[in-house]
Amino acid sequence: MDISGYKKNNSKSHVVASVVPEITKTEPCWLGIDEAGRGPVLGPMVYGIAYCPISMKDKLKDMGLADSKTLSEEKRESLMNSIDEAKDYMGWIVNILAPNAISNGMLRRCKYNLNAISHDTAIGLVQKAIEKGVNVKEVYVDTVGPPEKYQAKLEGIFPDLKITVAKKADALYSIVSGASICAKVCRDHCVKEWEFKEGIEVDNFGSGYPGDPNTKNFMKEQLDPVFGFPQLVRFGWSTAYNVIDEKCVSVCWEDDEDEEEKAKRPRSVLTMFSEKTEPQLKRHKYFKDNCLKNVDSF
Amino acid sequence: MTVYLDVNNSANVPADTKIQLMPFVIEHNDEANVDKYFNSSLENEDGILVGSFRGRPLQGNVQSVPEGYTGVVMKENHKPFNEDEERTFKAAHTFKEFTYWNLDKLPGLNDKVSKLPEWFEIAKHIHGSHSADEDRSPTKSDTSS
Repeated sequence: MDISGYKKNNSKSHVVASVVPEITKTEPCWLGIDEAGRGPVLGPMVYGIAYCPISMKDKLKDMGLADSKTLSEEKRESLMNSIDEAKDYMGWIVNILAPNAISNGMLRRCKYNLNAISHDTAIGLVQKAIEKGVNVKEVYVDTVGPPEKYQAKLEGIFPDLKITVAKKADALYSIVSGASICAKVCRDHCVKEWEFKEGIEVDNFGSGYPGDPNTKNFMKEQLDPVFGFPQLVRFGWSTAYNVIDEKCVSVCWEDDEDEEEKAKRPRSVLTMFSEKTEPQLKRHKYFKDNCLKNVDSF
Repeated sequence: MTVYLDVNNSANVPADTKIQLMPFVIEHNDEANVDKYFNSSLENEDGILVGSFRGRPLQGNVQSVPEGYTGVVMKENHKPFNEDEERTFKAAHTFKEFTYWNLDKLPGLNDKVSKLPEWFEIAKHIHGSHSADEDRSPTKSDTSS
């Protein structure tokens, strides 16, 4: 898998795809979707799809495709090679979501949460396969959330496809296992070969899971009082922003809630029974935005 | 407490080309690793600069200081010991342009900084010193109204 395109600029998300096998353009295909690196506070989250003709299901079983989480790193690498060798009938696409892009999404003025990012990325990958000419008929998706709602959403977007959303789909359907291996191998490479734009040299920053001692150590040592962390870190994770809140210099943004408003927010049902206070008139944002104030003398 | 702004030396201080106006207030009045953490990942996307600060998306552009004005960065050499003490700020850098940043919003005409030149004009009339003659002489807008 060639991730050099992503490495050129690891602040931005990047799509890598195999060649589309000719047979997948004519034969009806099944397509699996899975993701890797959803939980860690470090590095990209990678979404992967894999597809092949439905008639060739058995070949995937023979290949030994299984859920990537149950396999060793060496085994995943060797299965990735097998997938690449099966290029006559099996194709894949991965979308590398840069940690900076995840941070930017989650910390926008209007929050773009991880679930929405995940769904949109999965939908985008199916669309991409269809645009490339893959004759997609069946879609199998692994999910961490409730499957019913997600399934209804996908059926609404792709009414002509047979959609199956299931927990642990990566263990149930070999095509999802294939997608899971592509995603996991890609994420491992991205993390292992990470080049810090900040020019930092680190031997080992661990798995990115908050409990990992190497990750903990990395986040302790690389903390900058002004900027917080390098872009490898997902700033939207509580493990990251709690440290910043506690240890870095404080920063006040224009869209921060005022202390006054925070204090006014009802804290419990009991406040419903308290004496009513006259509602205070709030000045429209227009005055603040235009620096307008009342004065009685110049 | 009196505050003195001393710009007399501004002609002799170095010009700075990397002034950035950020869309937040930070409780930090010291050096920062701007090149390492911020400038290293800036990008130009169709004339708009794109950057991130603590994971938040910023969009910006390079703006010039209005004609006839000079931007000055002021520095206080001695921190006051108490509130009554006189304070003196001296020019540390001058600048002719700066990078303006918005939070998750394209820089545009509604930004405070874009409206600044309007304020210069108004300020001249309310705070500037005018001779009595000047005040009475009709201006263009007076005659047309």
